[in-house]
Amino acid sequence: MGNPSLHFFAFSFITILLYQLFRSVPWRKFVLLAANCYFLSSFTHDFRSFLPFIGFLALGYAGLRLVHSTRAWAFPIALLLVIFCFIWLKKYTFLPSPLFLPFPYFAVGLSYILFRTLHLIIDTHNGLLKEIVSPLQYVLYIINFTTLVSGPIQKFPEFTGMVESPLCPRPSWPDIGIAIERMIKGFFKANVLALAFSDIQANGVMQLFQTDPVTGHLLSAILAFASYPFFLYCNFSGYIDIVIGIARLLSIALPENFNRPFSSDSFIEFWSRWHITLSEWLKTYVYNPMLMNLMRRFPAPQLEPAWAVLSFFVTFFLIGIWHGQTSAFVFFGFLQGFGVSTNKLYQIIMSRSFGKKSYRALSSHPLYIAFSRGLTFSWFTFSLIWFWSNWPQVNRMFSVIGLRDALAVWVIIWAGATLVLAGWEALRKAALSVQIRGSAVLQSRYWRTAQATGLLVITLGVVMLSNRSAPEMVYKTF
Amino acid sequence: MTFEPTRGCLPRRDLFLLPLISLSTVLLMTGVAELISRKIWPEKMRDECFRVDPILGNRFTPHCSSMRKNAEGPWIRYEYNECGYRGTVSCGPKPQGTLRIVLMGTSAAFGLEVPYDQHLAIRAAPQLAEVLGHPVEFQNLGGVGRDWSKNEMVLNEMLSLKPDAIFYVVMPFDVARMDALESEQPQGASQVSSAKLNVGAWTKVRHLLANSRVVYMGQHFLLADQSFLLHAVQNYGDPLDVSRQPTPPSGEKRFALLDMIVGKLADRAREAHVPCFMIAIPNRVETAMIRSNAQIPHMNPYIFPQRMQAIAQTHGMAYIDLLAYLRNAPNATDLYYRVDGHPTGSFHELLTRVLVDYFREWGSLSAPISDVSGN
Repeated sequence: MGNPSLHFFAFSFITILLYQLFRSVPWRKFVLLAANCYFLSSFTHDFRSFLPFIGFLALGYAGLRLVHSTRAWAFPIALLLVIFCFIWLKKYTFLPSPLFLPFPYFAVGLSYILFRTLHLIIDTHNGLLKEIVSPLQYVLYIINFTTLVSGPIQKFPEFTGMVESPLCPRPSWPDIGIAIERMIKGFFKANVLALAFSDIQANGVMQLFQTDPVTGHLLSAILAFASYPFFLYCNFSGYIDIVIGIARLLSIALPENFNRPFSSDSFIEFWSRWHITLSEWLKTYVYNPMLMNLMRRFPAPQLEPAWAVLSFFVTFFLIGIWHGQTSAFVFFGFLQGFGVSTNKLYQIIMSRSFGKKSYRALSSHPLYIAFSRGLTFSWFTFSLIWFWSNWPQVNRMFSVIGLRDALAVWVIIWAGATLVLAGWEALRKAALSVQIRGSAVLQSRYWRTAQATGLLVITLGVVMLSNRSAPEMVYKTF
Repeated sequence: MTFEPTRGCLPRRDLFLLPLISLSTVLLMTGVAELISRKIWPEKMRDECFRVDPILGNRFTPHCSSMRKNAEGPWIRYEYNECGYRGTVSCGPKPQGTLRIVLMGTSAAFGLEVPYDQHLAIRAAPQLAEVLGHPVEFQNLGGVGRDWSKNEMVLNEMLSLKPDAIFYVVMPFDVARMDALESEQPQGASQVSSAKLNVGAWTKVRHLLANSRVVYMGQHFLLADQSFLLHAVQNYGDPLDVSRQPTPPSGEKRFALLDMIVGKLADRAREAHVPCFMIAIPNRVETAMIRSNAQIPHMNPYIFPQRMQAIAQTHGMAYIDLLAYLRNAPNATDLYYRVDGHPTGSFHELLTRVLVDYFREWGSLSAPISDVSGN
């Protein structure tokens, strides 16, 4: 049930009905716990395969309680133990393989559990979480079915506040409408758009390896590379839309994870619009502490930009490593870190060279924005190659394309992205400018009702006619 | 972050307006989809050459040609010779030394939805000539006189062509059609009864859906997947209900009627000393089951071919078995139009191979052998 299937919707619908049946907090917690257990059991019925997962949860909770008992030595040990166990269970390739458990086990959402557990441990250590987290609170928060598979990463006080508040209101009619609209949009993204982009990408890769004329290679390479970011966005944000909608009907407000990322005109901005909760988490627990530490240890004002660049690099390098267990993901992380830190460096240099005012004027020029947006998309697209393929595949692809054509491919992707994204932005702006009585027609509930109905009809049609389920959630494996 | 319900109530009118907008959107999209489908997958099933002969039943105008198209298939030209049989080969006196084979049956023999250059008659003639050592020509009486079973004149007409062999092609459609044959009433009576029919709204909706191109093409795409086809049959049953096991009394009645029809054909052929061969083509569902060894409760894909073989043998006809070929065909279910169910040109290619192999084994049209596939 990790995919946005009809089964998942039916399960969610029943959970919502039961959850909202009574206002009693124990009842709601009981329903949520039962739903979480059912959700987990839908992945496998073999209890043994859950043992490592349960062990990881238990370790996290034990660490949390130890840290809460204010034993100074407990914090680093708990932190390291949880991180090591995560690396071990995720079978990172730098660990010797005899160390790994010899049987298949359940590891869906382990990365998100790591983030939530570390958030609890660190915040408890820093005194931000003063209350003792009960085992039930811990389990409900950690394995909440709406966020288990691929986030978003919600903070514990927010989640618990909503689940445990006796005054937490039921969703209003407009809420129900908004939630359904959100789910339909997600369903459409995950089942129609992601499916289409996944097919385009798979065909592109397949054709790339066939012995076609050079022009064929160029087109195939462009399709294979440039369609993947769209696929990933639709696959990931589609699922997030669905779980945000479901959570809203459970009177739980989940944080947003995407904010039109391809509209970003810099790589730094991109990471504040893509997988927002992950970026926020890393900013809170890696970037800020690291920058503060560096500035405290080396308090020279002229070094501050360098520390910012370094902290950016480390933070986003960690993002890459978090995504996977192989050296390809290390390189993916390097490209993220390199992209963000170079972007930061560029901003510093430009501000110093031209002055802040001139640089700001330049950055707000529509042409500059369009090219920057294209470049941001192209860099992300380039870095994603190490996300969806491995080194032998990368070598094979680039040896088929050749250096000269590879350059041509990226120039075309940049130019194409610049034009397409600028066109999209212009279209969006024009569509939003159509207003009646001061409010945009596209945002009126009448238009949105028609739009959501249309998307639902299209999605159901595609699901039924293609007789294919939505592509697997990419982030499920993380 | 806390959960704050969206403030403000919906105006009362929106409780009606919003569902109405939803419904209108669905209707509008369905209408647009229907129009687009009709544009992309046009259909023209009316054949200008078709005419109803009060004595002989269905006929085609001699020396006529027409274009027809099924939504699933390509545009196909249908040409008729001077006798109104499909094809351009003359039905006049048989040329010296030429072996004339007459195709009997309904739409499958006629080659509905099959371009004539891909039809068995065109494909098999030169190959059979090579095998039999004489030029071979086909006269396609498929589809001529749908109720030829009741009409001695059709059989007389067929025998007047002086055939050297008769190939009777039968499909499960033909067995299912026995119900209609049995219930046929005088024309006047049927008109009166249909006028009296009270057509309800639900019937109208069903009729609309049955004629919807979107629904038709939807089925076309769904049925591309063999597992879906089998799943659908498992859940909803075989629409022709020919393969049900055990065969229900109504099914037995159908087979008995077909047996009678085939018996008449075989008797007349025997009297004229013309060898008669039966070719039974299972439908797509049966082929899918045979090909994948799928087990569906109360369904046996071998019932139809086995019953046809038994009928053929009862009347002294040779039975040409396709099953071994279908079992080995890599994409056997792709040899049919998915919704329409008729065999495609590719099926006729397979059929040609079966016939050529059969007669290569025996070497003559005159004395049929019982089975070439070993079943």
